[in-house]
Amino acid sequence: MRRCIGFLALVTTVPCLAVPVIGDITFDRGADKTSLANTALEVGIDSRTGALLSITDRPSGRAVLTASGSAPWPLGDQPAEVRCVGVRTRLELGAVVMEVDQGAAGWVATTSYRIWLRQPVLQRDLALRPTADSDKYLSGVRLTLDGVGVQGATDCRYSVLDNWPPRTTAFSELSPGRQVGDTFGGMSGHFVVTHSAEASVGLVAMMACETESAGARVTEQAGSIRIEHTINATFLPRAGKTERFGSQLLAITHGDWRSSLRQGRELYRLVGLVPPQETRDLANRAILYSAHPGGTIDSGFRDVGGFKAFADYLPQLQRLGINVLWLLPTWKGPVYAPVDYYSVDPRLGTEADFRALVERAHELGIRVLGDLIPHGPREESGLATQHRDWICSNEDGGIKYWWGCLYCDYAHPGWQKYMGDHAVDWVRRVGLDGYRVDCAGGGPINWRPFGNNRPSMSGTYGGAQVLRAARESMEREKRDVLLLAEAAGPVFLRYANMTYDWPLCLQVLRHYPEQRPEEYVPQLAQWLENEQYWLPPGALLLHFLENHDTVRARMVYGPGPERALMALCALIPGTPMVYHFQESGLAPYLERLYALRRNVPALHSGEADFLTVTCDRPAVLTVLRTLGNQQVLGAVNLSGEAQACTLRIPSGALTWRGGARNALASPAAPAPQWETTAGGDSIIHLTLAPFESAALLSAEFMVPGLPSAPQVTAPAPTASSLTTSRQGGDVVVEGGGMKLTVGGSNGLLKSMEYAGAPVLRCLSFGEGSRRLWLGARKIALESATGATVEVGEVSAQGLPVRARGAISDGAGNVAAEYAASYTVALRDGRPRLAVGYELTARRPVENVLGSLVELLALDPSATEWAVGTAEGTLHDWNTPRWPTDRRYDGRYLRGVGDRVWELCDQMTGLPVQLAARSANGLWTVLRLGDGDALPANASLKLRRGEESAPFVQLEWLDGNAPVNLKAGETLKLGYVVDFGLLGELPGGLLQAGKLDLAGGWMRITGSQVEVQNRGCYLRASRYAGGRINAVAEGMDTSPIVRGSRVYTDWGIYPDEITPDGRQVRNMVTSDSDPETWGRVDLGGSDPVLSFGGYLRDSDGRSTPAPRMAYRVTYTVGAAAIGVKLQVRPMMTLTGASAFLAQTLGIPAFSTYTVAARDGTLTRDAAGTGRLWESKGAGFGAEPWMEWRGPDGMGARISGPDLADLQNAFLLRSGSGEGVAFLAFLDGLPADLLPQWRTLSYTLTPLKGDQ
Amino acid sequence: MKHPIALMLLAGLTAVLNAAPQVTQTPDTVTLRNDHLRITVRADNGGALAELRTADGVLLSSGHGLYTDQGLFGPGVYVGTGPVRVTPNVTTEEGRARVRSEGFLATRDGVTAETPGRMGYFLEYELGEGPVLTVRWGATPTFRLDKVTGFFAYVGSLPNLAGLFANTLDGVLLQDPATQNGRSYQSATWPLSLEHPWFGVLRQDGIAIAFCRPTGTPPLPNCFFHEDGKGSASFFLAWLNGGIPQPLEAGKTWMGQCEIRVAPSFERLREDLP
Repeated sequence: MRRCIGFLALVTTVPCLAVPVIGDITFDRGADKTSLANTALEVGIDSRTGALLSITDRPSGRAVLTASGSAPWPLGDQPAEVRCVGVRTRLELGAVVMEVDQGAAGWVATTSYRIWLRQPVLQRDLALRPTADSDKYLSGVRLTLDGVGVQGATDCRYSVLDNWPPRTTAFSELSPGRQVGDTFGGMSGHFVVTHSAEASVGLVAMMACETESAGARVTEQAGSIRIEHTINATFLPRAGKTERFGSQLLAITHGDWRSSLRQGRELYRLVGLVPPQETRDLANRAILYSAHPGGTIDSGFRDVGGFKAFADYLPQLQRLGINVLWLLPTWKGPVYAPVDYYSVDPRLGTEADFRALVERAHELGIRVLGDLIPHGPREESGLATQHRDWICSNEDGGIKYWWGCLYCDYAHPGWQKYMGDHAVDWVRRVGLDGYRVDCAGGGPINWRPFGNNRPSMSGTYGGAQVLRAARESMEREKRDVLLLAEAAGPVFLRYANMTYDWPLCLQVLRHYPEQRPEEYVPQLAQWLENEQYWLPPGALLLHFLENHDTVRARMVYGPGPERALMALCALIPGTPMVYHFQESGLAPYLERLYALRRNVPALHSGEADFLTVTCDRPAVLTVLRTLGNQQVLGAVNLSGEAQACTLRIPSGALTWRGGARNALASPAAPAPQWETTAGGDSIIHLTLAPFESAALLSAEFMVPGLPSAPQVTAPAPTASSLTTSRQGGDVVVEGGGMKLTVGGSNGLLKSMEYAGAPVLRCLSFGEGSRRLWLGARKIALESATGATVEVGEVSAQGLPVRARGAISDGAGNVAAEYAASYTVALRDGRPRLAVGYELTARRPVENVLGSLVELLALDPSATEWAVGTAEGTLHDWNTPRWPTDRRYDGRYLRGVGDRVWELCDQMTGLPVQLAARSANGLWTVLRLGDGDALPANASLKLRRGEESAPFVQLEWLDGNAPVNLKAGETLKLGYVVDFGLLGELPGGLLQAGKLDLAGGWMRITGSQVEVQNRGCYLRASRYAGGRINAVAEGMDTSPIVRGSRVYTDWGIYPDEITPDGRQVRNMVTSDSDPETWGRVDLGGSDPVLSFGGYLRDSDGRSTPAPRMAYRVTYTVGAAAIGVKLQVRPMMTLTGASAFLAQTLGIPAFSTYTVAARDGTLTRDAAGTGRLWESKGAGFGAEPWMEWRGPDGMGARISGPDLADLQNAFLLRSGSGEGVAFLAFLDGLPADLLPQWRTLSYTLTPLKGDQ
Repeated sequence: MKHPIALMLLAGLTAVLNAAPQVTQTPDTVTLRNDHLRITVRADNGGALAELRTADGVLLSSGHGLYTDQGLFGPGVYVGTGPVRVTPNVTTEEGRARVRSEGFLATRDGVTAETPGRMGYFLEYELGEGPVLTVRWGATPTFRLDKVTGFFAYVGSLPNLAGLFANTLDGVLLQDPATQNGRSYQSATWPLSLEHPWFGVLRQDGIAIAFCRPTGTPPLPNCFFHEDGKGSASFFLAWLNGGIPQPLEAGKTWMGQCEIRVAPSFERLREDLP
C-alpha cells in the first residue's frame, strides 16, 4: 500500500498505516517490511522487530545494506526478544522522519530515520526510554548497520577512514569475525566507507554525536560488514526519561572512491556542523606562535621574564611571519591552575604591561589569544564555596578534582556563563583577540550532573557549550575573534575556528621515526588525503610538532626531519604553529616559508590533493593546493638523502603551464625542469636536498613579500703565498687578507682574522667543570707560560706553526705536556686552518670522570650561524633568544637555555660542522671529525656574559665517562676550519645521507638509523631508547623483529594516579625516553650502534625517582646482531619482587622452538598469552629460543646470559603477533643495587631453510 | 694557606700529636675537641652539631640536623630537630668521646609535631683521635604509615666551596661549584661506589671534607648537595627523597650513619681513603 500526501499537509505526526508521502518520499507499511523511500534511496525495516533490514540505492537498484533482520540491540547484552511496538512518521520541512519503536527488556528504543527530498542521505537517530528506574549506571550505546555491502558487486571494499596506517580491505579478503576499529576514537567522524568501483556505488556511514565521544568498529562478516557506532554515554535509567544520542548519518554515493568521500564529507551539513564562517578567512591565514611571557616550558616558564621582556621579542615574531600569538595562561596562579581568572599573574608584570604587550603585538599585525581554562580554578579560589553546584562530584558526592584544580562542570550553564564572562573580560581589558581553550573537549564524568544532563555530558557536550559561550560573549564585544580548541573532533568546530590535529601531530607523525621514509610517506599522503574527508568542509586544524605539553620536536625527529615537517605543516591545509623558541635554528627558513604561506592564497585557503601528483621518489610527499585558478604544488623530501624527483601531474590537473618556479629555493637555485608528455601530462624534474621542500608555482607568478637572500658585500680575498713574523712575542702568519696569531707565551690560537673580520679565537683550552687531574686548581692552556712557538717548513699540508709547553695546576704540579699545531693551507686562495693538539700525560689519570674543554669564539659580528649534523642542518640568524646566557636544567635531564645546539642531542660519532657568517657575507666553517677524533660533545651558544658571538665549546672529554691515561700516554685532538666560503649555506654542510660501509651501508634519517651489513638489516631510533624498529635480512624484506623496549610496570615504582583520580600501573619504559643518546661506531669490523638514557614514564615527561639507567648496543654483523643490554637501577631495594624486562615485538608467527632443560621443544604457536617460560621449564646448557612465521622466516635469540634471567618467554596475542620477553625480574625476590645488570645475546634472522 | 697550623696538624703531624678528645660542657653546649677537629653541639638546637671546625677554629660545617617537610607531617610543613631543646649526654671511653641527644621532632615554633604522631629521634657524634667525626642518627615514629614518600634527611651546611667530589660507581668526580642555586651532585643520579662510597667538598683553602660510608636502614636513596650558586652548599643524607615509598612502622627506628673525614687537600684525602 503506497500513499502520498501533498506538500501543504499540516499533520506532523500520523499514526501507523496512515501513510504520508511528501514530494518524492513514500512510506509503505507491510506485514513483513516497512519502508521509507525517496527517488534516491529506500530504507526497509523489519515490521516485526523494528530492525533495519535494508538500504537500497534506487537509481541502480542495488542494496547497500542487507541485514538478516535480527535486531542488534543498542544497549548492553542482546535481549531474548525485540519487538516493534510502533511506527510513526513525522513531517519536517523538506524531510520525512520515520520513528520506529522497539521494545525489549524494560526499554523502548526509538530509532528515527530521516530522509530528504531526492537526497541519497539518511539520518538515523536513537532515543532510549526505560520503563523502570534502575540504580545501575549504564555505559555505551550502539547504533549498528548490519550486512553492509554493495549488492551484486564483486569488487566491493571498505575502509575505516581514520585508520593509521590507512587501508582499504576488499570484500574478497574479509575474514569473518575480524574487527577493525577507528584509530582515533572520539577525534574523528567515525567514517566507514564501502564502495564498489564496478557498480560506481558506495555507502558512507558516520556518526555525529554532540553529547559524548563516539567510536566506530567494523566487524567483518561473510560477504558483508557490520558497522557499529558506539556513543560513550553514561547514565542512570529513569522511568520515562528519554535519553537521546547523536545521529548516524549515511550517504549512498555515486562515482569513484574519491567522489564517495566528497559526498560523505557533505553529511556534516545535514546536522549543521560547519566551522564559524565570519572569521574563516582570518583563521585560514593564521600562523600561530605559542609562548608564555614568563618563559619556555623547559625552564618552568622562567627564562624570559614577563610581559615587558616578551614584548621585546615581538618584532622577531613579526619577521618570522607570525600573525597570531597564543599566550599561555597569564592569570594569577600556577600556569594551568588559576587562582583568580580576573587577575594577571604578578610575576609577569601588571595588567598595564599585559595591555602594552597586546597593543605592541597589534601594531605589528599580530593578534593575541589568551588561554581559557574551563576545567576550573584551584581550590583557594573559593569557587567551591560560592558555587558548589558548578563543581563536579565524585560517585560519593564529594568534590571532584582534575589537573590539581576544582573540576568545574562544563555542562553547567552557570559555569559556561562564567567562562564566557571571563573570556570577554580580557577582550575588554587588554584587547585580546580570542582564546586558545584548554581541555576544550570537556572533562571526565560528573556523577551529580546538572538538570537532565547525563553524567557523561560534562565531556564533549560541555566542552562544546563552553566554546559556544566564549564565542557568543566575545562576539558581542568584538566580531573577529578566534577560538582555538584544545580538542580534536568535528563537534568542536561548530564554535571553534580550529581544533588540534592530535591524530596527525601526536600519533601519525610519531610513526615517522619508526618507519623507512619510503614506506612512511605514501602512507602519510593517503592518510592526509583521508583526513580531509572525515572532517567537516572547511575544517581547520592546528598543526604543530611540539607544544608546552610535548617533548621538543628536535629530540624526537632530529633537526632535518623537523625542518621538513615544519614545511609540511605550512604546505598542507591547517594552521601551522611554532612553539616558544622552536624557531631557533630554523628562523630564516620559516621566514621564507611563512611569507609564502601568507602571500599565496592557495596555500592558506586552497583545497588539497595528496594523491593526484605522483613522484617517482617515494620518500617525497606531494600536495597540490588549489584555490580558483591559483595552484601550488608542494613537495617535501622526508628523507636524509638528496632526491632527484620526477613529478607527474595528470593532464588537466594543473591550471598553469609552461614552467615552474620553486618559491622556497633561493633565486640562485636551478629552476625545476618542465616538460609535457604527448598525453598532456606535465612532468617536472626537481632535485630536493635532504629534508628540503619545494613550493612550485607558475613561473609567471611572483610572490610578493618573500625575503631576499643576504648579499656578499665583499669578495673573498685570496692569496698565493703566506708570510710569517713575530709581533710582540706572538707568531703571525699573514697573506691575502688573512692573519693568524699564535700566542708566544702559551701557544694558544690567539686570533684568526680574515677579510677584515676576527673570525676565530681560542678563548680557553683545559679542564672543564670536571677536573681530569683532580688538582686543587684547574689546568688550563691559556694560563701556561714558557711555551716554545716556531714556524715549521711548508709542506703539502701547508705552513705549520708549532707550539710546545707544559700545563700545570698552578701549584707547580705539571699534569701534561702539550704540542699544538696550526697549519695554514690555501685552497683556491682561501685559507684552511688545521688545528691539532697532543696532550701527553705526565701524571696518570685513573678512572676519573674528568673533562677537557676548548672554547672558541667565531666572528662577534656574525649575522648567521649554521650547524650540519648527521641528523640534518640548523641555520639561523645570530639572534640570542634567551635573556640568560646561563645553562640551566629544566623539564628535561639535559641542560637547556643558552645553547642553540648541542651535539649530544643528536647521534654522535659522525662528523659535524659549525659555521658562522660574517657581516661581509662570508662563512667560516669549523669541521669536526674530518679525519680527526670527534669530541664527546660540542655546543654552540650566542652569548657569554656581556660578550656576543657564536661560541663553540668542544668537550673533548665531557666528564661523563671514566678516563684512564697512563703517564706518557698521549691524547690527540684536532679540527679543521675553512674561511671565506660563499653561498647561502656553505657547501658540504649537510651531513645527512647514506654512508657506504664495507659490507653494506648506513643511513641516518633524523633520529632513525639504518644499517645493512650483508645479510642483516637493523633499523633503530635514537629517540625512544634505541628502539629496534626492524630487524630483517634486508631493508625491503619483512621484519622478523619489530619494536623493542625495556620497561618495568610493577614492583619498583608505585602505581600512578591519573588526573581524574584513578590508580593505574606505572609503565616506566625506555621507548618514551626523548633524550636518548645515540652513538655510531664505524671503527671496528662491524658497525656498532649504542643508545642509552633513563627509563621514563609513559608520556616521556618525567623520569621517576630513583632513576633507572639503560644502555643498549647493537653490533650489526653479517648474519646476526649482537645485542648488549644493560640496566642500572639508581636505588637499593632488597628482596624486591618486580617486573623488569626487554621486549622484542614479533610479527605473526606460527611455531616456536626453545632449547629447554628437557631438550629442544618445537611447538605450534597456538592460543594467547605466555607460550613457554624459562622460569618454570628452564633453559638447557646452551640457551636459545626462536620463532618462525608460516614462511619459515623468523629469528633466534641465543646466549648464555639468558639462563641468568628470572624469566624468558614468548607471549602471543589474539592477532597472532607476539612479544619475546627477556625479564631480568619477573616476580622472584631480588636485590636491586645501583649496578649495571647486563644481558648479552645474539639475535639471528632465520631464513626458511635454516 | 690561611690556616697553616691547622693544616700542618692535618697534613703531617697526626701520628705524633694524636690524643684523646677533650670534652667541654656548658649548660647550652657540649664541645668535643681533638688535635684535628672541634665540634660543638647545642642543647637548644636539638642536640645537633652546631659547628664543625678545625682544631684552630676554621669553620668547616654548621647547622646540622634532621628534618622533613614532605610526606610525614604534611606538605610543606617543616618538622625537625632545629627548634628542639634537649639535654646532650656525653660519654668517653678509650680515646673516644661521644655526645648523644634524644628528643622529638618539632615544628619551627618548637612544638612537638603530633600529627599523625610523634617522631622520636637521636643524634650522636663521636670523635676519636683522628680527623674523623662519626655521625649517627635515628628516628622512631610512634605512628605507622603503610607507604611514605616525601623528604626526610640529615643535613648540614658547608661554606667556602672550591669543588665537589664523589667516588662514583663509574669513577672519581671532582667538579666546580655550581653558579646557580640548585641540587648538584646527587647519588640518586650518579650512584656512589658500592665498595668505597664517599663524597664531599673541596674548600677554597684546600681542605677537603668527605662524607664516607653513608649508610641507613632503610637505605639512603639520595646523598646530595644543594648549592646556592655563591660558593656554599648544604649536604643531605636522605632517607626519603620522593620516589619509592617506604613503610614506616611504629616503634621501629630508622638509622643513619656517616663518617665525616677532613684532610688538608683532596690529594691527601684520597691517600687516606680506599
